[in-house]
Amino acid sequence: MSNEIILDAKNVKKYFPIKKGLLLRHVGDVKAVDDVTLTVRKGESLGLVGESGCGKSTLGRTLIRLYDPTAGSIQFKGEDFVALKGEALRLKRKNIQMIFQDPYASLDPRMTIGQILRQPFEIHNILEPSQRDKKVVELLETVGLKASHINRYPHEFSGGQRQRICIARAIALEPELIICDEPVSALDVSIQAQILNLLKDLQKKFNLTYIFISHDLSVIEHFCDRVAVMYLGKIVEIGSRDELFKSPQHPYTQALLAAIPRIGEGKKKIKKSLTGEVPSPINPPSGCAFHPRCSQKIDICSKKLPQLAGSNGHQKACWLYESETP
Amino acid sequence: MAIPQTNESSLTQGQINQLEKATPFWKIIFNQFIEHKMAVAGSIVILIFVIIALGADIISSITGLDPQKQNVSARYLAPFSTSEFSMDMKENEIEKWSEKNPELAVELSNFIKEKSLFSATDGQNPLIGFGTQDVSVVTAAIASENSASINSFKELTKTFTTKHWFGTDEVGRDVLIRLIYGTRVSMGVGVMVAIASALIGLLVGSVAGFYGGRIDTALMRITDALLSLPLVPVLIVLAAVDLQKLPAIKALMRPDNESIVKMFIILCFFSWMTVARLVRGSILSLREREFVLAAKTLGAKDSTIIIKHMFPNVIAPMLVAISLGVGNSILFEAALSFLGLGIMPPTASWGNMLNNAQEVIYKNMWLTILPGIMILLTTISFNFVGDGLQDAVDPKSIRR
Repeated sequence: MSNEIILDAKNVKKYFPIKKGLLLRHVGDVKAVDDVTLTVRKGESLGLVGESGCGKSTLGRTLIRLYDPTAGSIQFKGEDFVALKGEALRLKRKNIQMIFQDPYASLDPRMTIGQILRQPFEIHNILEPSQRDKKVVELLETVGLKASHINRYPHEFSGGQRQRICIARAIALEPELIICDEPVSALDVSIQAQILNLLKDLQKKFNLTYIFISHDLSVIEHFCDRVAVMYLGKIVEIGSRDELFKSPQHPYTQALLAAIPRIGEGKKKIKKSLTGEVPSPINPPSGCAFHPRCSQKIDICSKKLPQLAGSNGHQKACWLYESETP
Repeated sequence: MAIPQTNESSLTQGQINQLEKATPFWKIIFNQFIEHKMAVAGSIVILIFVIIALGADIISSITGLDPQKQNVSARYLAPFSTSEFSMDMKENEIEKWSEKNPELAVELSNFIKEKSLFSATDGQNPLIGFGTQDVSVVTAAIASENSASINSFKELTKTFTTKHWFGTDEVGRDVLIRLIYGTRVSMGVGVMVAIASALIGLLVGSVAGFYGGRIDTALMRITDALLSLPLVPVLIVLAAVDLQKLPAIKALMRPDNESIVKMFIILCFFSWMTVARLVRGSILSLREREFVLAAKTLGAKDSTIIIKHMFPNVIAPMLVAISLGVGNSILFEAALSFLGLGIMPPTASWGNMLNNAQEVIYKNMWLTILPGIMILLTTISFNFVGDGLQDAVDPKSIRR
């Protein structure tokens, strides 16, 4: 892992407007991603973890410009990625690819695998048409499928095989960054391991960088070098995997880690289990968004928003540690 | 999990070429479609009707039946009966024949006088007097004779009788040939209305689905408004509108197809809404489907996404909507014609045949039953075909 920064996102916000009535009056915003600052280094796997609805998928899709950010800047290899439009954006897209959660919805049911995997080359007009089939077969074999699968339709494959096809499509254009949006959460556990190993092998082979979105902490622990914990559209703690799993500092991270069932620990009472529901992202609580559910809250929590702070690449947004880092 | 260490394909180009060819998608759909027995039966019925409708003129010229030809002496004949021309019709025909073949006519007149086959009263042309008798009498009298004039006359007398397989209607027109021409009108209107309204619906639905926002709201409210109108009363009012007053439409119409064009326009106007909603819904959901997002992240242009991903996925539900729409359009056409507001006589359609038959429904039941059966058969067939298509094009139900 080098120190070269491949993706640098600053103060990224993505609000979805809520429109009501006949005239579609703007009545509010869903603050799906609210002021996220994030850097990704070349060759690493950055995990994004959080409860359902905390905005991790939206962040992923905003980073890849499937959504236009409401505010903030995204730099890809030092180049402004937000300002790109039209044709320039279209050509730049091949450097960042995405693997989606649902392998059943991410392949067009009316195209054969060959057609699906030829598409990247057709779009960017790479390779002679006669060479494309050969390249497709190569891709299929790289992800552990057979060349004879080329003329089949997606419905003839299992979930794991489909996810392999999606991976083949994502690596076809030799991107540098791949955003994996819960790539294994729709799969059986045994298949999950195969897909994760495949992603690891591909990372080594093609020097890929991953942003790995998941709600499954054990998958994150197995897969990622650094981990960012999200809560209600904000990053509450970010740090290297080892540090974060060994000494979680934000009360939310502590509660999340405590909720992982561990084999051999018997019926140990989960002390710091979370209560209550995730608040609405339309009207997030004042101050620290986590304070209504926090077991360690202090006065200031409900009044002022804590900022990410901390040394050694391990940062957290929590008033409990504010005194440590003046 | 083994991953090949080399990046080279294990297959040569030749082997790749020999890989099993992809089954085209239409073939998969076709294979599934033929598993639906009723849908296959329905499409056979439709195919037969289409052939009949297209070949109506040929059938007419072979059988000598004319859907417009009236014969008041043969009204309400039962099925399988034979009608004969009335006296004045025969007289007309014989006069025409004599004018065309004067020598043969003189020869035949002399022959009739010689053999005294007919005792003419004063001033009566013996030829006409003889010829206008019952056809059976005439043929019996000259059956054994053989000469140029008699053979020609025999040919003429043959046309005096007509076999009516399905009987005749209130003015002595043959029901069979009218049903055949009615197939042309009713199915033609039904199919054209379904296709045209599907295209309107595709346009409205895709505009609403793509652009969203206010355009979507406006278009969908119009759609809802039209859907909420009680159809039959509105159709009755509209059918009474005189389209001749609109110059743009006048150019399209000849007097003989006015009612058909009018029917077509009215039905189109009221049947595009279902398709519009269907297309809008599909496009809205397709826009957020992950394979469309994946194409976008690959850098596909909007046009590529629309042509390669959206269109093939919208066309299948549209086909279903069209085939179900044909049945509906035929029913509406029949209903309006039955009320006397649709296709105007003398053009035959199943609906106006029913209208004409309603006064004699107890006496001459076949006049109502036959067009009724035709309407029932086509509507059911189209519905079964739609049903079969629906099963066949659904990618989730695909099995091999």
